[in-house]
Amino acid sequence: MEKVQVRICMGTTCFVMGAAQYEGIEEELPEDVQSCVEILGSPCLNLCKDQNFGKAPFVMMNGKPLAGLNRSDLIGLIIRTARGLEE
Amino acid sequence: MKTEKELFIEVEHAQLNHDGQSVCGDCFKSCKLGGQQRMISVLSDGLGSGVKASILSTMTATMALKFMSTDSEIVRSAAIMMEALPVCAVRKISYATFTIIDTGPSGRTRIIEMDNPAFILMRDGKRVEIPHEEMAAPGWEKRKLHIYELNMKPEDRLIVFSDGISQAGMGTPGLPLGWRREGCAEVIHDALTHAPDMSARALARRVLHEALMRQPEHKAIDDMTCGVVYFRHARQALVLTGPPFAAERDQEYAQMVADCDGHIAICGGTTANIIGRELGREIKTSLRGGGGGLPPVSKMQGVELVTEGILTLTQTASILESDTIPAKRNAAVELAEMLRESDHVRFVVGTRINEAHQDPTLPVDLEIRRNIVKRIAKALEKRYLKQVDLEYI
Repeated sequence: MEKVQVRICMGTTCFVMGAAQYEGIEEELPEDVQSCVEILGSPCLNLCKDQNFGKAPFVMMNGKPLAGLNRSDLIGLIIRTARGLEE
Repeated sequence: MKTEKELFIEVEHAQLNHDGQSVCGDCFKSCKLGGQQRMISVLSDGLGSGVKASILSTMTATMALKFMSTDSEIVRSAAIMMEALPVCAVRKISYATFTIIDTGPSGRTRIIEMDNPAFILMRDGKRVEIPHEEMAAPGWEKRKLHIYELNMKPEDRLIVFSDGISQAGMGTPGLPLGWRREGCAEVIHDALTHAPDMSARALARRVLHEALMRQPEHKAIDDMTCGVVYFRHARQALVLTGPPFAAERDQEYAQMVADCDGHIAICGGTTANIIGRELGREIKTSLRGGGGGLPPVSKMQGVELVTEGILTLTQTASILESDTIPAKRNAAVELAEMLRESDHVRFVVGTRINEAHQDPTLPVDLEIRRNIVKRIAKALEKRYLKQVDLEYI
């Protein structure tokens, strides 16, 4: 099965808007989920340049931009995606 | 890129106050004249410790720099300096020692010492003694001036220190007379044998640390200062930050990284992406190890430091301006260290504005990139005597 790709933006805007709170989320994922998720940082996802994608902080999951999630929402979404409950 | 290696005079010092005092009674000051052409440094040790000693040594060092930079006659200048100092109410004398090091671009150097421990010259890993001439100002016959003339060669180091360093450990069982100049020279010799290209800053800190380790309870019972003048091939650093105003110049911008053979820092997520894209180099960004309110550093092949932009630069400017290094290592500490270890820093600032930074709902103020870089450049030039080039793209 292909891993769920999570890319977290560590650019200035995302960082001041809350990306700092995503640090260490990997450890909070259940074991079955951890093995099928790849979480990486990105210097900048280039999503803050226009207003099309909503508010920072931005995360890219399987190529889909996600905006303004707090830590627990992001964790919940990763778990649901990894277990195939979410597109 | 220059084919012929440029020579640079690196001057740094490390200092510790007499235990319990809030100011240092030693003073170390330097100034650069005519761009990088001439460097004058002075170490002065004021009588006693605390504020009074600090006033004496600061006055002496300031006057000495002024006299030297205006090429005044030294014996006469020394007399004026001694006469100008306030007289200590307890000891009824006015007194501060000094060592002046005046180095020109070709390496021609004049050193004038009054009552400080004699400087140490390290050349090719060995200590070299230089003969001196003795002089005294009329009326001040006991205050002998030792005058040395020498030609500094590339990779030579001059090390000066106050007696707080040379007398370290005095009275302890192993060192009844202290560590002395000999002990200090041995530590310098060992340090340079292990690290022949050790920077002036690292060496000054090492000497201070070793001296303190010899003190009972590792406490300074006198003001301790070590200054190092290192005449060497310039260490280049290149800092790129911000996307170029015109995207057509992205390739040219990235090529600067490929062409640079010195230290390289890239500060900014978009900047890193542009350079990675143009040079076909992958960027790995960690989610850990940020610290101190900054995002973590990233990795790119051939680049020592890849950081976030504005926040990191702002904190770097504060570190350099205040000369206080936060206890926790983060991207700004690493950048500040890299800049201080370099002699010639070239900043290339991309001026395209990131509109998202102008959003008034952001929880913090984000400074304009070129203003922060100017702050860093100013601190490097004025405070650390670096040579700085600033370009916009």
